[in-house]
Amino acid sequence: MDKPVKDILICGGGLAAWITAAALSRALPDEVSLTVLDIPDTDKFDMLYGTVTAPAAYGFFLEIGLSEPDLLRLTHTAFSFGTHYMQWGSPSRSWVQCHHLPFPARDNVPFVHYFTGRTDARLEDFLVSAQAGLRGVFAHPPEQARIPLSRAEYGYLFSPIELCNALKSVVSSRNITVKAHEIRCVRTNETGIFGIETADEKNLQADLFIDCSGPDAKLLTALNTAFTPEREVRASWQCLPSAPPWPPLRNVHGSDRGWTAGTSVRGQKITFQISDTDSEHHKSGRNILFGKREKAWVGNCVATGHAASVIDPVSPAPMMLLQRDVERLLGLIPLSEDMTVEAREYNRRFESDFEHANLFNQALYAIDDAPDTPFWQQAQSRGDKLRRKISQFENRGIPVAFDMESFNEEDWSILHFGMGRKIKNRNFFAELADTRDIDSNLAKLKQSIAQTVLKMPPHHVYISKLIAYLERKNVGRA
Amino acid sequence: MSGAPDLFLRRIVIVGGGSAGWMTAAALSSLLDPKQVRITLVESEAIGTIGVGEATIPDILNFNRLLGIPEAEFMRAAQATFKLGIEFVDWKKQGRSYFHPFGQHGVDMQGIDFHQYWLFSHAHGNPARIQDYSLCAQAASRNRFALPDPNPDSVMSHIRYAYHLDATRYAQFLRVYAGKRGVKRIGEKVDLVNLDGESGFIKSVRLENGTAVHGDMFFDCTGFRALLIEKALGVGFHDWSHWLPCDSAQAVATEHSGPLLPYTVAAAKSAGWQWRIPTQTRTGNGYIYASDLMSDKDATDNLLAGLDGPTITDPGQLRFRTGCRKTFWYKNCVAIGLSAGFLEPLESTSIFLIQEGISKFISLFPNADFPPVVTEEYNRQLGLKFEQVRDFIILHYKATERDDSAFWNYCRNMAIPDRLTHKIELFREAGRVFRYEDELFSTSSWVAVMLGQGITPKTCDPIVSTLPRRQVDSSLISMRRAVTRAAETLPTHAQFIQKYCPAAA
Ligand SMILES: Cc1cc2nc3c(=O)[nH]c(=O)nc-3n(C[C@H](O)[C@H](O)[C@H](O)COP(=O)(O)OP(=O)(O)OC[C@H]3O[C@@H](n4cnc5c(N)ncnc54)[C@H](O)[C@@H]3O)c2cc1C
Repeated sequence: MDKPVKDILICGGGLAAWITAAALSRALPDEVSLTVLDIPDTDKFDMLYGTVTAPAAYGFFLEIGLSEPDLLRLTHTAFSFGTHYMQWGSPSRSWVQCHHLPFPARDNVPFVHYFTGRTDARLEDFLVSAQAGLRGVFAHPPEQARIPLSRAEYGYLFSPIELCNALKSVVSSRNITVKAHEIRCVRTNETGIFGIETADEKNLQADLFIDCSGPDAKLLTALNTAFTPEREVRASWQCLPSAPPWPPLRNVHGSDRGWTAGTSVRGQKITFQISDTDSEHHKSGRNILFGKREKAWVGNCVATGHAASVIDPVSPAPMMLLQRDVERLLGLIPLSEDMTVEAREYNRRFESDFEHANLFNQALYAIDDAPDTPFWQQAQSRGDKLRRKISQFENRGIPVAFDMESFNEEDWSILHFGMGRKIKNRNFFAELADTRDIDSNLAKLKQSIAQTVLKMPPHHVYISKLIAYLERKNVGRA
Repeated sequence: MSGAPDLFLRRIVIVGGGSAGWMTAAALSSLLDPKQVRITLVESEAIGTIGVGEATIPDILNFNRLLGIPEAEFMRAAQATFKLGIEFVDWKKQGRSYFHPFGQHGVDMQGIDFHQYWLFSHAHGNPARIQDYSLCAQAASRNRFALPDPNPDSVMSHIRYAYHLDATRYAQFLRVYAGKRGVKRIGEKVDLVNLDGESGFIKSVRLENGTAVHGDMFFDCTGFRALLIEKALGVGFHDWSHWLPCDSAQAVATEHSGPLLPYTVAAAKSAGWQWRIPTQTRTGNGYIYASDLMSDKDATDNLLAGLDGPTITDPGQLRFRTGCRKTFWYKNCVAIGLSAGFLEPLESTSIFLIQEGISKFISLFPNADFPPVVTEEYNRQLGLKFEQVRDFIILHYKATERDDSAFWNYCRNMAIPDRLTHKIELFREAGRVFRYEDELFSTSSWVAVMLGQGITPKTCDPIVSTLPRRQVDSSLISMRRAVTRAAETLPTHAQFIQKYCPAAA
């Protein structure tokens, strides 16, 4: 009989490590012992997880034991209806990449066809989350399907450093051993890792090692797992205090040399800047390589977060992938020394999750008249799948979806329209529909959204009241 | 070129009047205005339809709903009965059977699949089978049936069902439906397909009476003949007979005997398997086999020996090839039905694949210039569907302990597609099932068949074993009790049909 997995060692001290620890400590049986080797300074690249999440984060955080009230009280997290891209690749291209439930269909005609060609309006005029975001107002979407706001979805604006600390405090009450040391060396043999020597000359052993050591991937590197780079950029970030109002959107401004994102969490504004690597004009930054490991699970070592891949934070892709890494691991906790079956499935899905999240990022840069500068030219990349997505949309307004994509059909439609892509041929049934009917329906929809948004409170007012309420009722950890 | 409307398809021609042809005609006519688009269907009585194809899966409800067909009316017309799943007899080994129910086993709890709880409790001595937690399986084993309760809190909301029907009558029913919506029917044999010399598109089909039927768009629903897609356009076929080696069938109808079963029986035999499918007025029986391992005569004898009532037809023989078209949509022709492919009827997926062919076509509805982006996407999506269904069917043959015949020895040892190998290995490790998105068969279906065919996980997911055993056991006991109690209170299948949708005598 194979030796069962009894000891798991998480190596790393940043967001990936603590999210993984939170998830595993909740899910695993007591007989499995969990240790975190809290390597100092592994959080120095955590800002690359971006400062936004997609709506899926709500359920995920809840599952790992961090409810929304916890999140609001332990950190300065705010709500996000999406990202506002401005001057994106050209001075006139701007749109709100909002989160939204499936668009309504009418008489068998998908909304995007229904609205194409009937009006000069933009898609976002018909999306309540975009309109609320632009006005700086927020309220939780209600359940009742008849209310326009029920179609909105939201994610979070957060500081990765704060989130990591919040998770640490949540996990501290659970049964976990924490050791804080540098790694001196990773001992390997042909089956994987057989020990990790720390700076205090201890030799840590485990049945499963989880590499959360950030972009260096100290464990996978020791196992000779190559990193496949995609492109190199220069990035810098800073946090400054900021007064309300805080928009419930992240702003991303494009420029010739790159882009700058502004995220207002409560009381702070996080500014994140990316450019090409020519350090002359972006002296303060560090060079970052985007890309992924050829495998994320090798032998008895599996990586989550940056140790597995580093992806452009231009969209919520980094947090989506971190969540996917952890969920994938939870579904595949190995039972015994022989982990080949689990590793193969993990790597298969890792490959496709990364590819599909990256497609969305690539689509953001796929601009025919992109500025002729190193940053925009290096970001161009159109594989087969992306070409199919774009050509199907432009020709016929058809959404092409691949297996288990993190970004959904609405995200893609909003992106295509936002970037100025047009549907050449509408759906056949849209051509048959009565145009007067369509026009009056669209006008009504637009008006009802405008009215809804007028009644919503400013984001900062809503949050302050919500937190006061949570404190009064003593809901959530503080 | 001028505005878009000039590019509209104006004339659609469907060749073939089996289930595929009439389902296509009915679906298109429900959406298109006959003043804008003319639909013509050509069928030949001299050739006739294949005439088998009686079991379905729950997706057919969506199709009928889309067409606005009242259920009871349709069931009376097609002499249909209800189907709650399939009983597989002698598949794992002789003397063993299992039930593949529609819907779920038990209820998933805390985001963990139900079968993990069952594996855990089973490993600790709980003797109940997983099917004991399925309402459909429990109702089926008692020959009982009722429609699901729309209230999601009720146990009865877990009923999922499909139909057993008379395919010929279903096609006739759809023919009336389509006729009312302007579809023109021509009863003639097509003897020639005219292609445009330059573009290679189909221009028209010539009928035996000499007239030609012109169209912008053609559907090949000519069954195994594949008159348009293969004979005229030369599109090739992926042959999957090395994975699905049966290539012949003998079918015969018998009188009812015993209670009216609300499920299909699929019994494994020495060189294939035998089905039993009850409609309201008869039982359809068929023996599916590999002709190089069993003679037609032996197959007929075997079929007749395995019947439970007197025959009312003579046995009829069919030959087929398992596999699918390399391209389903080529130029201005789409193949739907047997002309598109056939994966044998073990999981009753043919009508479903017809539906997919139709609904994907509707969502990609082309202009008359047929841009390649449209056809490529259609072919990609349909190819995936066929492969997913194929893998699920192969599983039944591959995972077996039978070693009593050359047929089963071949199946047990054959190489299978990689994706299926991985699925089996994952399940064997810790009962994990990973579905691909959009996959037809649910986790419950994979679990039912994997367990039923004898693939036993080494252990359950370690995450379930964190739960106290007593708590797991008691949830399972109460689930099982609720399911059993609900199943026992239902009317019999025969009673229900008698009240709800009796066919004219
Ligand atoms: C053994 C067996 C068992 C099956 N069991 C099931 C089952 O349980 N469940 C299920 O869903 N499916 C089952 N099927 C599949 C099912 O029979 C078919 O999917 C379904 O009947 C559709 O057939 P079709 O319309 O494509 O072809 P057919 O029924 O063969 O119809 C072909 C049509 O084309 C016409 N035609 C052909 N050539 C010409 C010509 N030259 N000119 C004019 N007209 C022409 C014919 O007249 C006919 O109308 C089974 C199939 C087989 C072989």
